[in-house]
This record gives sequence, structure tokens and C-alpha cells, in this order.
Amino acid sequence: MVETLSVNLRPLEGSAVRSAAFTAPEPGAQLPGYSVAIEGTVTASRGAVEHIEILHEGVLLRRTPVEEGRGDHAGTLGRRTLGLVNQLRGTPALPAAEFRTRVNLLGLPLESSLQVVASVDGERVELAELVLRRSSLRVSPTPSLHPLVVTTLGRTGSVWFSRLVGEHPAIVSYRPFETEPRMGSYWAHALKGLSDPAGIMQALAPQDLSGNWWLGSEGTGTIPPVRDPEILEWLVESNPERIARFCLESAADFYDRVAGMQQKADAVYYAEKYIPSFVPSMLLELDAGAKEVFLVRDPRDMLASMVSWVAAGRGGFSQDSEQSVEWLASQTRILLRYWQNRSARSLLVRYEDVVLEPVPTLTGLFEFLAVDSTAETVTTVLERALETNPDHQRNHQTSTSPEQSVGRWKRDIGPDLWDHMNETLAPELEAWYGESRFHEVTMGATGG
Amino acid sequence: MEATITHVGVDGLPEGISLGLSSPRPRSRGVLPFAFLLEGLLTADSEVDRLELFAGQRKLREVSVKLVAEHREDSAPETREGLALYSFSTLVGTVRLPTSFTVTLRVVRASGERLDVGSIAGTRPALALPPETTPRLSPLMVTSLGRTGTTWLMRLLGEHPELVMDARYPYENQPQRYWTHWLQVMAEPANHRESSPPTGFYAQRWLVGANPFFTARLAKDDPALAHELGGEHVVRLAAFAHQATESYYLACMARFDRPHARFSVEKHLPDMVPPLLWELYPGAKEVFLVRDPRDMLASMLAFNEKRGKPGDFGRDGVETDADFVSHLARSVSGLVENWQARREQAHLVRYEDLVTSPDAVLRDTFDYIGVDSSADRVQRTLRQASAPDSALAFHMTSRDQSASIGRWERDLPEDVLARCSEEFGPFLEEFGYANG
Repeated sequence: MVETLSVNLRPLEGSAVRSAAFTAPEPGAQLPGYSVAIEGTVTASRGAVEHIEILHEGVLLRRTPVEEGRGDHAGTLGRRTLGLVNQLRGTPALPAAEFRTRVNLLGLPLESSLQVVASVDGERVELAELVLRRSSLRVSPTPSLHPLVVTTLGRTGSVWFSRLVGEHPAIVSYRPFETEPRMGSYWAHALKGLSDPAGIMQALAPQDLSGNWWLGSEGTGTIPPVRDPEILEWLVESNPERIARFCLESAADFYDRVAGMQQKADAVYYAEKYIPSFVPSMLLELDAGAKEVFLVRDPRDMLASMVSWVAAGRGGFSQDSEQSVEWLASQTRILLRYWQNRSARSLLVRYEDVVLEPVPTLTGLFEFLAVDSTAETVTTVLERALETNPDHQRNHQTSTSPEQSVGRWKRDIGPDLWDHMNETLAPELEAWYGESRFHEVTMGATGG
Repeated sequence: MEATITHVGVDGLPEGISLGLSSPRPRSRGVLPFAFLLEGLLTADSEVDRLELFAGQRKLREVSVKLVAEHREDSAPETREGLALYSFSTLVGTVRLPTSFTVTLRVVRASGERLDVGSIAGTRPALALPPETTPRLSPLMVTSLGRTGTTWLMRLLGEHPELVMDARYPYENQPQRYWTHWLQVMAEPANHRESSPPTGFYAQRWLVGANPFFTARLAKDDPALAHELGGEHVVRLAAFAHQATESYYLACMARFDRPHARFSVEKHLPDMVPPLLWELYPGAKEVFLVRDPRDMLASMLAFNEKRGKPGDFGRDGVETDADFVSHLARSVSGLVENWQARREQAHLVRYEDLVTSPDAVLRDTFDYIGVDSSADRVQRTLRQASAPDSALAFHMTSRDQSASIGRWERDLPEDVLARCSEEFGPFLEEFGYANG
């Protein structure tokens, strides 16, 4: 169910758009499914209307072409005009460009604001803000294995973390130091594409069924309106739900087989790491049994580790120090925002705690996951992780020991960059370390 | 589910190339139901860019090669100067191949030169839906090419109460084709070169491809896991593709009032989709609709002109109408090959017969499908399909259907006809059209 909370028209004075009207969505309407139809007309005051864009928080969701001369505001008024911008009253029927599209809301927050923007004569003009609320999509019953979502960034000890938790009898991970598959991400990605109306319309009128992709569309075409109620219900509601179930089950099936190989008959979770994207929230929405851990590390140590990683020839990274800090901050800021949004139902785990105080950290983690957290189990998990494939671990490390990896930035990064780094990364340090036992180490060094 | 490799041939290697395959091996038991490991070493006297795998004329995929060693001064004396050693290792999916297949290996040098270096033959199990899946509808495939009367045939079939489709012009909703293609892509092992990469696939908003984690390495590390991904998982993908397709057609049954429908009808091209549907649906039916390809060509050119789209049907990819004939010849040959491969189980309809003897053709077609073919049903179908329809009128490029037969003699110039005679010969002979 999607409810249109409001359609907030934007002022157009002085812009390249003379007027705009929306026939969908209708304010207050409650429509089935997980996508929203956006339809209307727009008239340029100069030049031609090139296309319409739908954005969420500045990210493009859909670009749709317009059909020039297809619509007119008078015609729109005669049907169901919901919003009319500028002084249309009293003006004759104007030739207008008609647009109609449908936007997937899965992967967006349950309550979202979409911006509708017209590109006219090289100018981008915001026409309206659509405030929408949708029902969550829950798969029920869920597969027996649930995602343990480790939301993190690179060089945070995530591979070691996956190895550690994968030694718990209730948690499955697959060769984290070697192949590190991301089945959960892959299937969530597949779900997003498959459930998108543009993807579903491909099923009704596939354009290209060759090659190695099954969508193949750039999603820029017009999505013709489906007026048949039986087909519409299939399109917007039952099909996305069926796809969601299949994708969730497919990821779990892989780990179910891994659990069998590892003789973990009582496995509850499969652990994978995820970059901050739509994927973690989607998995948490689909599977009521999913849990999320935010794994963080002092971003200055991340920077030092990245520099070492690059120096060892294992990745590309800017050699410009300030630019590197800015890039890192752009990533940690996203992670911080995601954590702030979901901190109430997730667990924050600091890398420093994992390597320096593993027993209490793992105990707390296992308690959060409601799996066996006895001292005996925690000790066994730790011992097994340390025993297994030390070569793989060494290959991944850039410090001589875990202890050396904490606070390494003071050795590895020149003091001339400290002030800039501390200032830029202060929000993350405050949020993640402000109340920790590392407060003095981290905040003290920032001068805070 | 048993798959076998029956032959591995690396004979007749071109000069300057040597190839050693460690996998697959003939009669090897290690192959997965729907994939096999391709692994080996290649030496070449000039830089190699990649391998390419072909099934007949159809390119299956590319395979990356990794430079292992190059000739140096201190190399063994018998090593020829300029010789380079490459390794390759990948899983090759077989769902896009026939159940009995031959794959040709081709080396592509950095210069662009292509050299056939070997072949692999084998068999795979037929892909069947899980036993607990009982299809409510079987597919009825109308396999043909463009401008051969498919729209008219679809309109006729759409009037039969035991057949369901989105019975509106242009009759080209194709969820069965879409989901079968989806199945073929998703069943493929990792192909980081041409499909989903292992990282960064999130950014490809409109491209989702083969599972990037079903790799050769996984197959070697954990054969049981690979057996799952290259076996039962493929069956589950097929079951889901079936459910997704059938749920749409169940909605169509409600929308178009077809409560007694037994078949879902779609247009198909002569590609890898119809053979796979035959594997999945024992109750499937397939009608090959053919038309004199010279009339097909004349109709394409006329339709392009009528719509003001002179480049459609691939015409924009060639210089002249005569070259367009050669372009079409590949599809025309493909239709002949598909017909010859499935003629025992499929049904042939000639467009010309459909136009001149619709009663008999419809009766025979309904008989083949196994639906009501009574004279009353045939007459009712023809009457309802012949109701005035502006969309269908727009679709036509002749004044009436009878005028569309033999139009090539009026519409096509000599040079184009000469090329038709060269290129369409096997088709004309197979389907009983006079050449000349």
C-alpha cells in the first residue's frame, strides 16, 4: 500500500516552465503495491521540455521522456487535475508535454519525499515534491537462515570480523579471507531491478533478449500505463512480493548449503559485509529475523591502513593526502548517517574493541544476536578463528599485530595532516568514540 | 542429473599456438549438471587477448587469459623466441546450449585475428521443473520472423477460448520469453568480463547479470557447493521463472475472460528460448509460421516507409537493400535450422496457406495444439478475428491479404531478387517456394 501524504507544488515564477499539472499521484490516495505512478503535463515558457526526472535525496530514480503536444492542461483539468501551477486560469488550452512513469519505492525509506524535476531548455526546474508512505514488504515465513548484516567500509577489520563470527555454531560465513561472496547484496540488487516497474514492463514488452543481462534497459523509457485491474495488481503487488521471497530464499539457500558443509545444523544467521547502500535496509525490511551490526574503526587508522594497502600494490587510492581525507570523510559520513538512522535497532561494534577486548565484545555481540554467548563458546570461537589459515590473515593485514593497528595513524600519517584530519572526521569520532573507552585516545588527539 | 563430456579436441592447431586443457576431460565425472570447468594453458607466438566460445555461429562468451610467462634470454633452448604462456580458468554454463552440445574454442590475438583451436562436446540433463510444480498452462510458441503474418495468426489464436494472451495489437507481450531469458542469464556461472562484476554491481542500476560469485575457484574449493549452484539452484530458477510467467497469464485469464485456457501464446524468434521451453514443458506446442522471404522483405521495406522509420528490422545497419537481404539471411537460415531440429514435434503453417485456405489451416493448427477444432469453432474464430480493427489495418502494407502474396515480383528490383536467390535458397527449398 502506498499513501500519498502530500503533493507540494513548487513556485515557477521566472523559470523555463510556464505551468505544470499532475494527474497522479492524488493527495490522500491509498494505492496497492510498492511503486507509485507519476503522471501529468508540463508547458514550457521558452524552449522545449526535454524530459522529466524523479529524484530521491538528489539521487536520480527515473528519467522519463515527454510526449510533446500529447496533453493539454484543459484536457488534464477535464480529467482529474490535482495541482496546477501558475496562472492557468483563464488561459486558453495550451499545447503541453505529457509525462507518465512509475517509480519503485522498494529500497527507499518507508516514508520518502520525491522531487519531480523538468529539464527545459537546458534548465532544471523542480515542479513538485511528493511525500509518500508505503507499507513494508515482509517475507513470511522467512527462510530459516537470516542475514547478519555487517554494514561497514573497507579497512575496518571486516574480514577478520566475518571470520570471527563465522566460527560461531549459529553463524555461517564463507571463506571471508579468500572469496568473500556477497550473495545477499547480489540478490537484493536483483530484487530491486526485478521489482522495478521498468523491469517488470520489460517482461511485458522485452526490447532485447540477447546478451548477458536480463534487464538491459537503462530505465529511461516511457512506462505505459496499465489500466487493467487484474494486470495492475500483478504488476505492482503480487509480482514484487513473489520476487522478494525468491531473492531472499536464494541468498539463504546458498548459505544453507554452506552451513551443511560446515556441519552447522543449528545455524541462524549468515554473515556478510555490506557497504552503506539500500541493501542493508532492504534485507532488514524483508526478513524480520535479520540483524544489523555497524562495524566502525577510527577513520584515521582506516586512512593509514588504506595507504599501506596501496603501498603494497593492492589497490588504487589518491596519493594526495588532503584529497584522501576528504574522500574518506565522504564515505564515513554516509556510514554515520545510516547508523544514526538505525542505531536503535542495530549494534555498534568498534574494531578496536574487537582486536583488543575480543571476549567482552563477542559476548555482547552474541547476546545482541540472541545466540549462545557463554564464555566457553566465545573462547572457542576466538581460538578457532586464530587457528584457521593464518597465511590468509597475514596477507590481508597491513600491521604487524592487532595492537599495532590501533592508533597507527600517529605513526603512519604525518603531523602536518593531523589538524585537517581531526577536524574533518570529528563528527564520526564524536559519534562512535565520544563515549567509549577510546574517548581519551581519539578525542584527546583531536584536541577536543 | 548427469552431465558428461564426450569429446575434447585440440587437433589441428594453427602454427604458433599450442593448447593444453586440464579440464574438462573426456568422460570426466566432475562436470556439473549445467556447467563445466574450462581450464588450461595456452602458448602463442604473439599476444593473445582472450578466448571466445561458440556454439555453431552463436558466440557464447569470452574468457579472459592471464599471462603466466614470456620468453626470456634464459628460457629453455627449445622455447621459441616471442612465445608467451597464458592460463585460463572459468566455469562455462550449459543451459544456453542444447542438451547435446559442441562448443568451439577460438583464440583472439591482440591483432584481432581469430583462430579455432579446439572443441568440447558433451551432454547435459534436460532442465525440468521440480516434480511438485504442475503448470496450469503450457506454452504455445509461434516461432517466426517479422512481417510474416504473425500478427494475423496471433489475432486468430487469440479468439480461441482455450488459448490466452494479451489479445490486443500488436500481440507482443512476451513474459515467457523474458523470464526464460532471465533464467538463462541467471543460471550462468560468473562472467566478470561480460556480466556482473564481483564488486560494484550495486552501481549498475539497470543491469543485473550472472551470479558473480559462482566462480571456477568456488567450484575447485567446494565442489558440493558448486554442484548446488550448477544443479538444483538452476532448477529453482526455472521454477521461479515458471511461477512469474504463469502468474501473469493467470491475471490475463481473468482479464480476458479465458477461464478454460490451457495454453499461453507468445511470438518467438528462432533462438535459444523455444528449445528450453520444450525442455521445461512436456506439454508445449510450437507453430512455425513461414512466408516467402522475398515477400517478407518487401513487406519490411514497405512497413518502414509507411511508418517513416527506414532503419527498422536492421535495415539501418547495411548500405543497400541487396545487403539487407544478406543481413536477413542469417535469421532466415536460423528459422530453417530450428524447424529442421524440431519438425517432429512442431507444426508448420505457411502464411500463403493461412491467407488462401484459412479454414483448413486453422483446423489443422487447432488439431495439432489439441484444442477444439470443430467447424463451428473455426468459423467463429475467423468471424471474430475479421471484425474491423484500425490497428490491424495500419499494420498491413497491401490492399488486402491476397495482394500480399507474391508482391515481391512487383516490389523488388532485379539486383535484390538476385541476392534473394543466392541467400534464401535453402529456405525456399525447405518450405516449397520456387526459387527464381
